Amino acid sequence: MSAVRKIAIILFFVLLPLTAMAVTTSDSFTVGLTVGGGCNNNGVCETGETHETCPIDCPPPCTNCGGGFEISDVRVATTTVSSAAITWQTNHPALCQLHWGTTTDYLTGQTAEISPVTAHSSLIVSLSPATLYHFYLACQDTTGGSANTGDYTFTTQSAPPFDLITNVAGLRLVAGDSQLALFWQNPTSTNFAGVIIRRSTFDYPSLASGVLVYDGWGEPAVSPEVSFLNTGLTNDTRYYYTVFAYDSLDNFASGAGISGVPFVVTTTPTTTPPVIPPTTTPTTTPPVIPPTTTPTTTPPVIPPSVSLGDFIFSQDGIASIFSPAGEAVVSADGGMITVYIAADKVPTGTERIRMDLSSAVNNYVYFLVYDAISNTYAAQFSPVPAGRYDLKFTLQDSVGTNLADVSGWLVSVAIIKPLEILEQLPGVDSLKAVADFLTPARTIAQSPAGKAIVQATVGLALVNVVLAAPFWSFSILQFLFTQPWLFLFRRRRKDWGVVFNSITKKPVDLALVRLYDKATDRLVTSRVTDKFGRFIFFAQEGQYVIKVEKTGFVYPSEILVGKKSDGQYLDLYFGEVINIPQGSMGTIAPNIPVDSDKNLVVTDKQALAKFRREHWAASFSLIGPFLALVYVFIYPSIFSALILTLHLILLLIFKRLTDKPKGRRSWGKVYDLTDKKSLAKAVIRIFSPEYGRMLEFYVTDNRGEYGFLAENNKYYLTASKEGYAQTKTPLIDLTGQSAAEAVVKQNIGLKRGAGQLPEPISDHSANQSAAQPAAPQETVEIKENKEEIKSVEDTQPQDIPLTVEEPPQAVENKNKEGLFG
Amino acid sequence: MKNKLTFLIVAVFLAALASPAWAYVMSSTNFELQRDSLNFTGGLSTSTTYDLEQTGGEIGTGLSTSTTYQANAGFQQMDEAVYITLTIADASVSLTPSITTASGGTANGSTVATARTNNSLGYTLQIKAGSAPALVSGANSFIDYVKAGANPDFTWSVAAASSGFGFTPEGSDITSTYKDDGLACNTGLLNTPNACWDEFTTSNKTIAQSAVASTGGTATTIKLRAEAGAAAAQSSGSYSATVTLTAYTN
Repeated sequence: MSAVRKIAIILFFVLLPLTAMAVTTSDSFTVGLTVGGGCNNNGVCETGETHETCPIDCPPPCTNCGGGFEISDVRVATTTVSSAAITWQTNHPALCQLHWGTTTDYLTGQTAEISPVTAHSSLIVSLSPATLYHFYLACQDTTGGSANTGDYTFTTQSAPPFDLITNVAGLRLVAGDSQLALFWQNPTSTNFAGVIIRRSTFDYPSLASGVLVYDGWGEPAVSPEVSFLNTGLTNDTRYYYTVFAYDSLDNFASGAGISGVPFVVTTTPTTTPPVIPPTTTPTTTPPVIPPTTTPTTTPPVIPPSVSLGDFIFSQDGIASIFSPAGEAVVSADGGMITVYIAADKVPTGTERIRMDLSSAVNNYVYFLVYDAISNTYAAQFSPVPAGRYDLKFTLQDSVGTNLADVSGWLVSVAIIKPLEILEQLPGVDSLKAVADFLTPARTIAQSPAGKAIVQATVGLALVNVVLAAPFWSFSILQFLFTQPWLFLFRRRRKDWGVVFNSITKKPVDLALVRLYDKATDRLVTSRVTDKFGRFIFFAQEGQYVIKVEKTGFVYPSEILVGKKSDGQYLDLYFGEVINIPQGSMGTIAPNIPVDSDKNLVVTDKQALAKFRREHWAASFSLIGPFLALVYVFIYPSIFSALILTLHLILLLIFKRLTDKPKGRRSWGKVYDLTDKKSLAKAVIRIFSPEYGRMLEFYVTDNRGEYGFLAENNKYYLTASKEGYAQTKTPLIDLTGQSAAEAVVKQNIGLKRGAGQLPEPISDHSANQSAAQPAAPQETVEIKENKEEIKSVEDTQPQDIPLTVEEPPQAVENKNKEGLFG
Repeated sequence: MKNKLTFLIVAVFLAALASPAWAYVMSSTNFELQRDSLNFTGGLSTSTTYDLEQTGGEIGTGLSTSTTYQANAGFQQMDEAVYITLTIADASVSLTPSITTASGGTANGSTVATARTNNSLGYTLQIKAGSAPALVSGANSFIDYVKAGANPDFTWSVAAASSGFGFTPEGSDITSTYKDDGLACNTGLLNTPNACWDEFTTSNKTIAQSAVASTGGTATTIKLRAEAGAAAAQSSGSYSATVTLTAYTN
């Protein structure tokens, strides 16, 4: 054997230990790419592509075209996992309907335009990922021409695959003296192996920060919840916890966060606190925590902005993107929810994304972390209770620095109980809130019919709002959206609370009643009183206060403060704390007096101006129905009939909101003492002698009629009109009369010429008057309407100032007034 | 002659031991026998309360380690046998959308490779193409991506009259070559998505490496991109490439 061979053998043995231990495996995959002559078959008709050269991307532009009217340039502009934007052109201004479906029956949905244009676009949403959809267009131009397209298709993008562990659900915290108790529900997946809880006093800890305080399945609590009691804490210090569920392979969920402050309990609780089982020292070996990356000192490169639209919620195979209004919708009754954003959409250096969901009663914090399988930042969590949540995404780097944040709303819809969504909506107190109110309603109506109705309703509602906004107070506008619900679903209960006028005792309708959590001062829910002033709240355990808002009224009442009851109203409420005992759920329905702030001087000019405004508003509200009627005649169709119907409904609603109470035939009349003609536009004011306040005023109509619905109390009236002497009635005592009879409807005769109103009745004099109602103080002719006016003509007042100049011509009782006059 | 025969026997024996393909000693279509044992006694004994598996007569059993290797000698050490597996999510990756000859375009695709090993020293993942250039269609091909320098390009760039086909790995175990500082590659600790593009070669390039065991599996996403410039007039056809990933224990 040569020396070379010996050396080779020796080297072979020396190198053997280094190579023999390596275990190797290989696998291959192929990569395919198609290069075409001018068509990429991506479902989008792009520049250079025609129907002849690229039939998949560019279907035939139009079939069944008639009257020279054509649809052209139909394009699928963009597709996402859940939406598609369609654009097309017409050679004449036209209204088009877009129908789509997973088959050529196009039954999934449709949209309809409400104004004719030539450049059209429509966004189809709530689509399923990776699904082929068919659609076609049906258009009608303004000259009667119509055309339909053939079949077009598009395919939504595929949802990325995920490798996620579901987070714990319903994480909540109860604070105590030097301790904090965490409660949550474990995921129901079969490979769930436990949770670890990490704690920090600075921010919600990640898997690599804070301290590990618990590892296990959670201690027993009231099923399905489990708990962990963290003791030995420092009072008045905020502690942040992140709960990470993990599976049998030590794969961790993205984390659910919660924070709380232990505090010294200074009062003895009236109810037994929940039993929190003692925690046990973890006996299992803590799972291996993945090594963390050392934070870089290089400043991160942040993209220009992070868009809310980059985030996607996926549930049961359906993706929900944010609407232009910044709102996404999930189901409260569906499967697990995955929220994600593509990794290339977030700023460089993003370690995790914190998602805060907060409503009036629920608050949740989840974290989105990088998922290599899908190349996204993602989190998976159980459906949250139905309601509308403020939503905020905060992008954080590895040391917790906030890189960017975006905000929107997440609506969790309980599909089988849509009305509950309305109950959980916050109080509507601004135009923005009104618009927000419409959005979930639009989302709920996913059926084709529902979508058509919602589109029409939204459009018409906005039209009416625009038309009527200058003429109605906003309290009425907001009632436009709440009152129909009250009309349709009013509950026949006898134990409603009532908001009522502290002086007249009349119920106050359209008052905004709000329930606040006493501890947090946060709005829990709102109600609008119906025409009988009624409202009711259903609330869980806790302490609450009620606030009332109503234009023209002051809350709490100063007039009745200190009283326990007032006539038929018991349990009067003036802003006290309402306590619902722990572990129970109760109704809150006190009677709430409010004081009228109309103890102000309303001149005749102001009263008449208000009268004219109301009539203008009434007349102006007819424009919408009139235009809708014209539209029906020009383009008779189901859609135009629907528009007209909805306009009429809205008109009735406005009439309900603005019209005066019925019962004209029994109302009083103001007339000229000289010629006995009725006097229109005379200003009648009703006063309470007890409180020395003006309660209401009224301007007589063309028939000279007026009337005040009152309660069993004492009143007096004043009447005035240009060219006539002002006058005041004797005391009107309605005590002891039934509610039906409690109507102030005296006939009042006015004498031509200028005159002075007698001195107002003071509280003292009023009381005297009440004690001696028979003593006449007035000189005007007053007569109950049950008698004919003729019967009192001859009764001459004794001390009416004499007429010193000729009065103007009496107002003719012609129909110059508006619809509601 | 006798010396030559001895050398041949020894060489074949050692080569067999050194070959990674012989990580197991027996196999069929349904199983792989990782280890067998020749000993004097032993076997499985059972009762209602216990199971006893024993071997006897083996020599040199137990764990032996050094800075460069680890040995688990003996039949009962089987549970500690070193293994590595490699899973590729998609055996066939289509780059989308299609590219047009007239106007060119960019097509993307990706797959995920997951390596699992119980080796305490971790694993190494490598990539290579089956041909050069990698993406071909008959006589036509895309040019393997041309980097601006020695390091991968932080930003993908192909001239209007040219074409390119390359890749970038993303994941927690990628090597420093493919990490970046937000501006350039082979520096920093970031793993910026869609950055640090490299060209394919027919020799292995290490794209991921770990110094610890990964029994749960570590995913590395291989992103692929092909681009034909607007003036490249890339010939039409169905282009394909074969990419091989190799994972071995450290």
